[in-house]
Amino acid sequence: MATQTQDKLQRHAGIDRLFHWVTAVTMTLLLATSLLPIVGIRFPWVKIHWVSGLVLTLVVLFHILRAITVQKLSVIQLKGADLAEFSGKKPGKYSLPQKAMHLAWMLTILVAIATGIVMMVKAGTPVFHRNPYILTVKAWGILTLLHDLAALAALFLILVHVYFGLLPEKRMYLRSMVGGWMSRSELALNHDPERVARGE
Amino acid sequence: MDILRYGHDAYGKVVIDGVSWDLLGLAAGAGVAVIIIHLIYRAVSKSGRNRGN
Repeated sequence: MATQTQDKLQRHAGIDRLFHWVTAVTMTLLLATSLLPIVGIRFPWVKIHWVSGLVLTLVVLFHILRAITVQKLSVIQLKGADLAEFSGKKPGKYSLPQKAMHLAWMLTILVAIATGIVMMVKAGTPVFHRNPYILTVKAWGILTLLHDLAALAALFLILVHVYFGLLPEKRMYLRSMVGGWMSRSELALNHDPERVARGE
Repeated sequence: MDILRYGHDAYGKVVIDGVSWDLLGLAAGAGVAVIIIHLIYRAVSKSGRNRGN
């Protein structure tokens, strides 16, 4: 967490905030285009869906590369030591619930992307030549099942994620995801500044 | 409530088609349940803190 001014500490770099909000917009579009037709709101959804999925895939690939090369993966990794937060120990940059939320999103989005890309071959897009015969009917069913489960998980996660982001006592996390910064006092109240400085 | 959607292959054999959309309400309901439980927990712990002051 680099120092921005005397009281403002940078929590998220601009590129990471951009990644977060592009992911948020594409996930919302993906859920809206897949679930609204199911509840009876019919519109031409396929193109918006696969284009959003492709954008999501590209930004996630970028995020993974950045996380591996520039950032420290251990900062967001869920560890047994994080359980000490239940006995009052303050977290490093990310708290246990934040790490758990990231892990849940990571699994959900990776399953959605992996299955979605193969389904794009079945549907046929300008990116992939249509070929529904690369898998058996049974295999397509399993693939669709996994994609559907990812959609249901994403619906659950969006509700919970937005709720916690809007809570007044968690508002500084939302602000830091918009403006990038958190105040020194907010950091000291909710995190261990020494652990954050050590890159934990 | 169904858990899965089923279809048939070219030989008429039943195959899985995906998740039953009956579960859509369950996923949304689970999210709302977490929110309500947390709101209750938050209100109870806040009133406990206020009594302690």
